[in-house]
Amino acid sequence: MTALPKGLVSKQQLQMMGGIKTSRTNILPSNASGSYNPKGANRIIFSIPSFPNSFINRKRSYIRFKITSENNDAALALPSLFPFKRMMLKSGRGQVLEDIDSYDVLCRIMNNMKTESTVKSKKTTHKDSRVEPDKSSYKTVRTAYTNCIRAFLDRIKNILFL
Amino acid sequence: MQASSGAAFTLELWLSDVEAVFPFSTNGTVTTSYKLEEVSYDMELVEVTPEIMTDINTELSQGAQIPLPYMSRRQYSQVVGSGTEFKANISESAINVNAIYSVIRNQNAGTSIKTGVDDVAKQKVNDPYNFVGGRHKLESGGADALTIAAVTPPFVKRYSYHYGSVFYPLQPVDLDVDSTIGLENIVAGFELEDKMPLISEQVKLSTGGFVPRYEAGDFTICQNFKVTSDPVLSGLNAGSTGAPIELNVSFGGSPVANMEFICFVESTNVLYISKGGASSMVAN
Repeated sequence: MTALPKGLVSKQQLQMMGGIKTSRTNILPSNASGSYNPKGANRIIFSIPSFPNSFINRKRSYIRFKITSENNDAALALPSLFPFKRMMLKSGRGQVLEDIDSYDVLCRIMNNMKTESTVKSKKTTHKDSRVEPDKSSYKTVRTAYTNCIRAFLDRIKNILFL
Repeated sequence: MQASSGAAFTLELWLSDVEAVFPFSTNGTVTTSYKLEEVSYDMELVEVTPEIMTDINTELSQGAQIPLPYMSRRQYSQVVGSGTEFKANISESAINVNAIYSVIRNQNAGTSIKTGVDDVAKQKVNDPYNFVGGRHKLESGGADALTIAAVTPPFVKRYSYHYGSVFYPLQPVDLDVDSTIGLENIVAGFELEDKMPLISEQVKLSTGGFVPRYEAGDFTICQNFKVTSDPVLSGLNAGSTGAPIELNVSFGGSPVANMEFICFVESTNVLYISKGGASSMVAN
């Protein structure tokens, strides 16, 4: 809902330009070590290359990973599972666009601002079990998808590659 | 975006400590670590025709720039001293601050693993991301049951953001009886009436009663500075005076001890793309 009167907003539908197509790709960390843990290889770096004539559709992009506790069958994950404490985004020239410490706290705040039904429905994909508590162990490998990471590109309206 | 160093963008993520990710154990064993595997960024690309890009590149080569508006957040933290008053000076010079999100939590949150957490009530009570400021502290009553602790925790009695000569909101928020006004300030200020946030929901107690999440672990001090939710620059110019944004908080209840203040300032910026795909945050 906007404050502008609807009459001031153009309702003209633009004709789709021909030749536009989509494709999916999968970027692996540039410092790939196969496995990351907080006491050793604790930094994950994604170097997102330039694709010719392309934009990222940030709404349809996400980061995925498998997370497993080690050496304890009885470990319980945080109900609002989010394993990243800092996020840094740099441009191609190395300019820091965003550097957020306590990123885990920010993501918790942002998730708290979502509706209960949204948080509840994220239990399957994002492992947020605060509304539907989960007591099962993470010794078994699980796949998690993280939306807070996806948000880093959400906040840039359009990503243009030249 | 120009890929001068082999990448148009670089995203770096640091893993949290094990105590913040696996803070509980159902038995007496402490988890020593965790691992992430098969990490990848799955993304979808929209490819346009070379003719469209030729038009764009022609414009850029003639000196035009493509403005890409984006939102960023910066984090500030500060130790909360003992006493009943706390003042945070948030040094931010962004020209368009949209909002500020502030929380207070225990300094030792996420630094140890709690053993013997065998029910969901204990998970809730020992959640390292529980924030301080609400009127109630939850306790585990056993068998997945929650109760309210007899001792009143330190709670926020009054708060106000202040920049230059203006208060945000226009007068300090007095939380005389409970924190409902603070919650309503968030709901109204961020226009969440039609999509009420999780913090406005309630937690069921073993007595059959309910307590708002906002009062029991999800307390947040948020302020929306945008004049309108329309996509126009209508936030706070925090660089106009050189002064910091101030947050003044008054506490009630138990004495404040070992608390940490964490704040995120959300602002809007513009990334300009120019000739050759060069990027800059300054318009030329």
